[in-house]
Amino acid sequence: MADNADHIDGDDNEDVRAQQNLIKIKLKSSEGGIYECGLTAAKMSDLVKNMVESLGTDAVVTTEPIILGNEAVTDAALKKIIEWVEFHWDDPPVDHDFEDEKDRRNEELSHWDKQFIDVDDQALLFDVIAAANYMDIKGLVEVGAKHICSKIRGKSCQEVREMLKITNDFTAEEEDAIHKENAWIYAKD
Amino acid sequence: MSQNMRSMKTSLETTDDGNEDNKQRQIYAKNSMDRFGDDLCELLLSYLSFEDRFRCECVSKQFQRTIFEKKVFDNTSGQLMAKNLLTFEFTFKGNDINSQLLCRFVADNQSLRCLTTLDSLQSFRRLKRLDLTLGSNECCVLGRKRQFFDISIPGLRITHFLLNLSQMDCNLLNNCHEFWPRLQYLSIRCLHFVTECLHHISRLPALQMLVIHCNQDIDLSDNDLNAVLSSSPKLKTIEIRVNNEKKFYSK
Repeated sequence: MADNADHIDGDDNEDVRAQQNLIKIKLKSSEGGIYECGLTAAKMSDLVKNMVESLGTDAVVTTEPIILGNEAVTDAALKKIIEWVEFHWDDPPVDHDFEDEKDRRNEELSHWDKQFIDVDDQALLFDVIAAANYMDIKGLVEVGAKHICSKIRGKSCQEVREMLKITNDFTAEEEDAIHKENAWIYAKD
Repeated sequence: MSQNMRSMKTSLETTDDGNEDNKQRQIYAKNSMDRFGDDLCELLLSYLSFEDRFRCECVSKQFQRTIFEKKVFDNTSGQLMAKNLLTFEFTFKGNDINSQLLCRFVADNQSLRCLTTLDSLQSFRRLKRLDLTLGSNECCVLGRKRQFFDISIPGLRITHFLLNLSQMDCNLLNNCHEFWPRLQYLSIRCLHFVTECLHHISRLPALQMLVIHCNQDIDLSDNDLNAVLSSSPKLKTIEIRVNNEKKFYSK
């Protein structure tokens, strides 16, 4: 049994991926909530993927849930993350070619991703990003990054601080000095 | 079997090994971006345009630390922008570089690695380290007839200069002591080294280390090199590398 499942693991064939996603594994948040997730979808997390690969699929399917111990992986964040991977698991694999990567980084978020990540509760948004980073889901971290950067775009330092609740730990003199150094960027506008 | 399962169970647990993260979480509010570590912060901010990076540099010390990546530059908009780079490397052909733009760019970056040519170093006043490679068709001259590269500009703060060139011009280093008053390290890599240059090198007031790297035998005698050592005010070591063999001279 284990041999079969492991054999399928190594296969990138779309049908196999679809078939594998019918296998459900359990993920447990740091708050204790247990949630089911398709195997292919869950493996978008490199953390989960490595665990599944080292233990064998059968073990993961039949044993206790995978515990995601990082505090950012709250129930709410894990539910959001599973929603995201269940939507994206059949995306074409990421091409690491430089030009493509540059294009991808510059590409706007899809409508679905925009709606997904536009969370009013900023604590939850940050939980999702930190949890995705911990679970090593690069695509989702990128969605979070693009969302935050789109909110920062064109704003002043003070507006950015207020929006993202960032403490200004510069003295007035230090801030002035940086402003002076970068004066040309303001002059450009 | 049951023992097997138990050990499997423990290995399924993942724990947060970043102790610093735990500390941070106690200090920072969950809805504050301050909670993120530098690595994640750098990753998130890497999607900002260069204009926004400059604009947001003074949001916080963490932003200042992480907003400028250490390696990339961008010319998609025809603009070169970066800051606090350790090294800047570029290649361009001919004289089509907008040197004014480059000056502003290099102003805050103290190290420049340049392949092919620069028309002048005049405005790179804060540059400390220059690694210059010149192709076979470009000669590097003090006279401005070719307008490729002119090192005869006083006031440079360069302390490290690495020069790669196929042909050494005997006039190349004329009066170099006036242009590079702070030069501590000079490395010259060439096919043929011209002995006449040694006289000029020995007049560099701050030079401590000289490296000459030749692909072919050089016509340098021990006497020549010892003379340089004794006449140069601060020179401590000369390293001669010919075909991977190293020879050292020191005071």
